[in-house]
Amino acid sequence: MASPELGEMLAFAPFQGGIWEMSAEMAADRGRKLGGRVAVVTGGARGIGFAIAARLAEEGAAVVLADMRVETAREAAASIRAGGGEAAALPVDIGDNASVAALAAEVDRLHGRCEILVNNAAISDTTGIDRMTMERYHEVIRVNQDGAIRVTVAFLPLLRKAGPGRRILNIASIMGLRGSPDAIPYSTAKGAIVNFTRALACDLAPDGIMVNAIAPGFVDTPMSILADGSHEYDADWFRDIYVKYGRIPLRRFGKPADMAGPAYFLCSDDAQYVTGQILSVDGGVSATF
Amino acid sequence: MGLLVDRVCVVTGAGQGLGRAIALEMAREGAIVALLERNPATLEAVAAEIGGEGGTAAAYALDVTDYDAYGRVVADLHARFGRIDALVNNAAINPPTRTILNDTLEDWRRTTAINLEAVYMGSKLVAPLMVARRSGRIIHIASIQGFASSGEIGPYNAAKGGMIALTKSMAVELGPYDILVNSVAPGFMLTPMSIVNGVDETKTPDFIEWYVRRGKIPLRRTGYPEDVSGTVIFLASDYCRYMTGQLLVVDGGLMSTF
Repeated sequence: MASPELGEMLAFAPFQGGIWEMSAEMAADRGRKLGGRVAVVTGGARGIGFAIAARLAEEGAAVVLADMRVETAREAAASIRAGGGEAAALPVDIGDNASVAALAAEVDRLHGRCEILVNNAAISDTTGIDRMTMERYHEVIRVNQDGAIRVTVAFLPLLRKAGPGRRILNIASIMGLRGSPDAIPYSTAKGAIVNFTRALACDLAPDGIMVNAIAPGFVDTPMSILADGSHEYDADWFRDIYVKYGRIPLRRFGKPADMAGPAYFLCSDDAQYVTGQILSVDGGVSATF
Repeated sequence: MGLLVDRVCVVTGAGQGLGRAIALEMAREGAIVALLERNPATLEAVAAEIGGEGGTAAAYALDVTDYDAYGRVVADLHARFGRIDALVNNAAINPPTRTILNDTLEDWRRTTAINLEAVYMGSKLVAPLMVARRSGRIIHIASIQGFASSGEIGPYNAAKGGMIALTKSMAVELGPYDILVNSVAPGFMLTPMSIVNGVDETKTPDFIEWYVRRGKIPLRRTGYPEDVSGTVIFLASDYCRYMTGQLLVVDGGLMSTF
């Protein structure tokens, strides 16, 4: 048990993460590491998907923000271009075969290949077993589980004709590694994504395609706004237990930008011998109890 | 008929808490239980308890880090019974509640000596007897602190994590001799060791609010020694024949959630 003294000590220590001096070499390389690579991010219009897309664009990738919210995606792409990056927005419903096929065809027409595929799009769900209908279950699975697999299958030809640095990055969740109440379809789908990642890594290793996942913990995204309009992390249980008592050792919820660094790493040349891995990016939640 | 009739089962740290419950339960299943315990008073009390229930116990006052004495105990058991069927490595201590910033090398050495090195040495002393008979069970009592941490208990975390890894290497190396090696990871347990600095960690308002009332332990209660002894009986019994190198988590579901 973390003692009150330790809690107070940490509460008074300002958060230092992310503050560091970039070396001259790193600064000179910035913006070139993913140069000439095409990256497609599903659900790239906002939240974690947008943070990852923006980071990949910053590193020189030509990004495609594929999203159901095509207007939001267009604005997001414009903001990346305004910052000097290369970005386009395309519509997709990853739950639909024809829509995903159309996306792959359009990326093929625009770029002729895809080095990096980020399977990020998902819908939120808070259905416990007693309230769950099989219709609701299949609806969530169709998008959150089958969606990532559907997009992967459609993009395989584009990945196989891409240049070096081929990567698939799946966005799993701590909910795919641990259970929590009232989230049966979501947890089932994310658990499937975890082992899909490992199995796919085996199948695609001969093609030089590295397949990995990140498992975010509590992250403040548009999905954190609950149906009643309240914010998930404004609740007492979150502030008291996860923050005050340190069940999140870093004592804060994550921001989408916190996911972008690990995501970029797995998509970069620094991760050439890493495949089939799940990186938990959760502020330490899964290191304690 | 009991599950462990006439099996010679060694339990370290048998004087209290989990070790006592395991020893009592093994005796009830018909085992001849060798109690290894540093504290003569609790040792005699548990031996008397087993005898009073009509069971068979052999009591040895032993500091498990005194390896010469440990060797003599093993030799004596071999001379008396001709075999050791199961070894339960249970003895352990809590280090003082400190962090990496203020703990001491002495905390580390003492904790890892008892909680890990003695497990290794005890297993090393007993395994040859099992190899000779091509049969045996070695069961390590680890902890959820072996793969996650509450903080302020680093040497304990390292020792318990070490036990879990040692389970794997011993299972691989002793498998050819039909010796099964598994470990158990209890979660929060109501034992004398759950009292830290005079406060029972399973009775604090925080514990009751978070782990019990809000269900972060899905079974919504702390564990009792009897919750663990059943799992150890299973691992020592003939119901467990093709499972080795595994970690059984007995925590009311705590580590399945977040």
